Amino acid sequence: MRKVLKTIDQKEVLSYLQYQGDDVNIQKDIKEGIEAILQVATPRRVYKKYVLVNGQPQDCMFQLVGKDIQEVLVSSTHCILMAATLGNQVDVLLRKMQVKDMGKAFIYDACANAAIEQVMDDLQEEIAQKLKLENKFCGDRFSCGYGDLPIHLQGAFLKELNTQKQIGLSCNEASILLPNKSITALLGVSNQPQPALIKGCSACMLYAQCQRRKAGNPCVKE
Amino acid sequence: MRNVKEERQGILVLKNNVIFLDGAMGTMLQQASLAPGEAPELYQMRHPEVIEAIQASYVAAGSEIIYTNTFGANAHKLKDSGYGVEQVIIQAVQIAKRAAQTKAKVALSIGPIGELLQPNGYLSFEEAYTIFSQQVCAGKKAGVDLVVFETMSDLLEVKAAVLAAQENCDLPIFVTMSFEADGRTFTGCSAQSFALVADALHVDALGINCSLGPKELYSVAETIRSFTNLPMIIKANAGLPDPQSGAYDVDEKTYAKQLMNYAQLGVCYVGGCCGTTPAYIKALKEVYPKEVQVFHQHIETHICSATKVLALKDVHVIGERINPTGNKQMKLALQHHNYHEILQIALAQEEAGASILDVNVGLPGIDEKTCMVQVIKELQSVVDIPLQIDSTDVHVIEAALRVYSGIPIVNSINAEQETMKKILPLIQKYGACVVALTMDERGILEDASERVAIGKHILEVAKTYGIRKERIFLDCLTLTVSAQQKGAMETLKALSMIRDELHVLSVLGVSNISFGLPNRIILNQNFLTMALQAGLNLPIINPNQEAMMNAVRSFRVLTCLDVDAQAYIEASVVSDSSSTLTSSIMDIKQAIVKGLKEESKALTIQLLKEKEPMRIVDEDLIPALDEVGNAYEAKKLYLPQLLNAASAAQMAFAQIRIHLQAKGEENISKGKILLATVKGDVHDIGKNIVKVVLENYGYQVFDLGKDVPIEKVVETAIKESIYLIGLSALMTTTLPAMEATIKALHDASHDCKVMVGGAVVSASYAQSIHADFYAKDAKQSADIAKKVLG
Repeated sequence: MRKVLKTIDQKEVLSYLQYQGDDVNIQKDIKEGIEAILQVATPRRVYKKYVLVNGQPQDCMFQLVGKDIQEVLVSSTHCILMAATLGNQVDVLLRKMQVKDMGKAFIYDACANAAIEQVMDDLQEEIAQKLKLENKFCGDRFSCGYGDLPIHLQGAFLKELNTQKQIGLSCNEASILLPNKSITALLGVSNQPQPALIKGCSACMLYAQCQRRKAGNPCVKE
Repeated sequence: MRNVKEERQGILVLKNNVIFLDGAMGTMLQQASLAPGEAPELYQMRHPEVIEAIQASYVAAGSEIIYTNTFGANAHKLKDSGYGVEQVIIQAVQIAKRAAQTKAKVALSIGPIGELLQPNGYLSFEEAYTIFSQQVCAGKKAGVDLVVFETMSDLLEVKAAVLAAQENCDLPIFVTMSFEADGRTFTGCSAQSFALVADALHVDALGINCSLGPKELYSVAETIRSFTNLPMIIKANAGLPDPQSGAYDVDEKTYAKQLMNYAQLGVCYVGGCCGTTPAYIKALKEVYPKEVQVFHQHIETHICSATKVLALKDVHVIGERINPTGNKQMKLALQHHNYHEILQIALAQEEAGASILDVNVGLPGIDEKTCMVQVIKELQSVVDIPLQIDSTDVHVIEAALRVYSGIPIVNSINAEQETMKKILPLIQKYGACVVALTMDERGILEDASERVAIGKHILEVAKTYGIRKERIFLDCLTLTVSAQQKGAMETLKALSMIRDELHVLSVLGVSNISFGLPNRIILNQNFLTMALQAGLNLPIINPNQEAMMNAVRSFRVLTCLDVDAQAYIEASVVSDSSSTLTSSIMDIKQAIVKGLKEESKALTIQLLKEKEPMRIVDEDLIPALDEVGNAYEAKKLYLPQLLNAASAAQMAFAQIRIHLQAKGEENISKGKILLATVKGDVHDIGKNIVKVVLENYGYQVFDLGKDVPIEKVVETAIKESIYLIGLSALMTTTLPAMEATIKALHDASHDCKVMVGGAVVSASYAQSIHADFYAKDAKQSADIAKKVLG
């Protein structure tokens, strides 16, 4: 499980940094940050597939709330709950860097963000490959806190996947994931390819708070 | 002396030295009728008969110790269940006792609390201790035979658990942690550190449970065995689970066969974890030997943190800089609870090559105990290397020993009877190492052999407390040559006698040698080399003085401790590269704008020779920062560059501060600002960015950190007379805490302005919660500060 994360895409790091310059010192720090994160990260993932009945996963200890998630799952027969973490040592490294050098800490933080996204992307790709064999398709990821899917479902979500025991991931009462560099998400599974969930900034539920859009570097070009 | 440990273990003496434990409870309950997500402890309240039947089937299969169904029966997990901790535990013990009859002993099972301890999470050590104590007391009342902490992941939580058990009952204590194949737990605790710390805390047996199968865990068990002679426990999973079905891939016969290897490690408590059933225990009982070897191997003296282990055998540097004596910067940091600065000093020492950090916070007018506990907690959140607790106050020492997750050194005791009587029991209880000064009621004796005799006496007294001499490091004391010139040679002589006659490790504060003389570093360096040659193992020095570290590195090369001079060469490469500056004609403004840290430092030192510090700040540093800030706003520079410039400016400010302190002048402060990430929120990178920028504009920042209780913000603001408060929050779930903090500030009638920021905060939200300002980024917070404080 340890070697899940082989590399971190520098372009992704740059987009988290909202950085478009060509300062060689920044490039050097990014390279150093990528190496440091790869060295201490212990990426771990877990996922589980559920049958959907009336838009609700069966044999699952919580119900999906809100209309946005139902739109996401409208053509789905199943859904997948997934969670991944870079592990506690990444949090420790980031704490350490914030003491030593705030400039580098900011860059390391972006490297860690890119890394955990990478871990989730890879897991999603693996799942998609498996589904393909069954002639099934999965859509985009959707997480607690997106749209009207409440963030406070996080605790039940983690409990359902038994993440504390499986991958060392838990959350506090404010639904903050611990370790910090972790992601949980939900995927819809259907019998035909699904249209992209993110159709462009104007249709996106993260419109108001999206830092990438504000920086003029959106994740989907319209 | 009464041997409590033997009495405790007496409870467990059965026919053979191998004792069979039980297998999984959860797996069996799922096969019964446990609903997904339902807590086994709550299921038990409705179906006691199912639990009893499962446990009876383990007893029938040959389990000699069965675990109660109380893994998650703690105050945190049962909070909204409608059941009390004692109620659940007492029922569980009654059930287990019925199942065990006279054929098996009953162990109170206690799992992790389910909420991470600080610094990884929110729960304090003290809260964890209280939660575990409640469970232990309930188990004791219900009549369990022993206490088992299992599936642990955090070494500090293990420590809270073991202390709670020791201090609330006389029962045997078992501890098992869950390791990944890399030999670390999820929180990063190494198998080595676990073995050393559990052994030092005098548990009765220790080992591994859960996470992987017997095959994958064997190397972890081997590691644990090489660091302890204590009885060992194994409860592995039935191999690895299928991600979708959850079914395990090792059957009972294979499990038993794989587990047999553990007999050669002397593992004497054997059972199973997830996926195992009574059939596994039965199969195990058929093949596992009834007797295994009891280990008596020689184990070197180690100290450790949760993540790093240090074998003490040759020369290791103890960094001395966390000490306010004669250090104004450290005094101020402690008085203002500026832990960030202390952490910076700690990491600088670690980076320079210190193996251990001495921690002394003794300062008139501060509460040493509270301060020591806080500093230890902060240090172990970022520093890997082990710590040395430096205090003479027994209460301070004990408080620090409790909250430190590893095995520390205590600095120090001496041969005064009273001191030994008070402190040695603590050294024994917490399994620490200790520095012993070779002096007594008579003071420091002149003659080396007299000091060595005192050292010998200390070793003998310590032995009566059960402390082996390997855990005592003798300090034969450095006298100042300007006052007692002959003293130096006596100290060196004593060092050799400690090595050759007493065969224990020695420690010495080196720099006292040169007190009152010019060019102290020259004397210090040469005395250090002589002391090392005379046998000194643990010099206490300033590792950030290159001359001192060079002496240590050279010594290690010349005595073949540094094989092929590898460490020496590595250190030389680092110091060469850091001394090359890119341009010698660059001015300070350019250096800051370009974010060049070393250049900024060097140029400031240069500039201080010809210019008043305040003029440098106003004419060079602030304009440079403004230039960077404006370029950032105009999107010509990006945040990483802004931060690098800020870090470079910090180097310049640090030099100015050192210069002012040397002249006895006050620091530059344009006013005080309090910063805090609100209660419940741990994302503090944004707040830390703001802090760096504000400090660079000359403001004195009181950084209360993250997850800050509302009262603490109000209290500090009033106590320190701070009139600008900055609050940050990154989650929608923690915004209410921001609002409540502002309200509390207003309710306290503290006349202050509040600025807020963070990813989810907007200008309109700021207005709605009655904040005075919304700062969209760090630059804007500096603009607000200018407006409010000038």
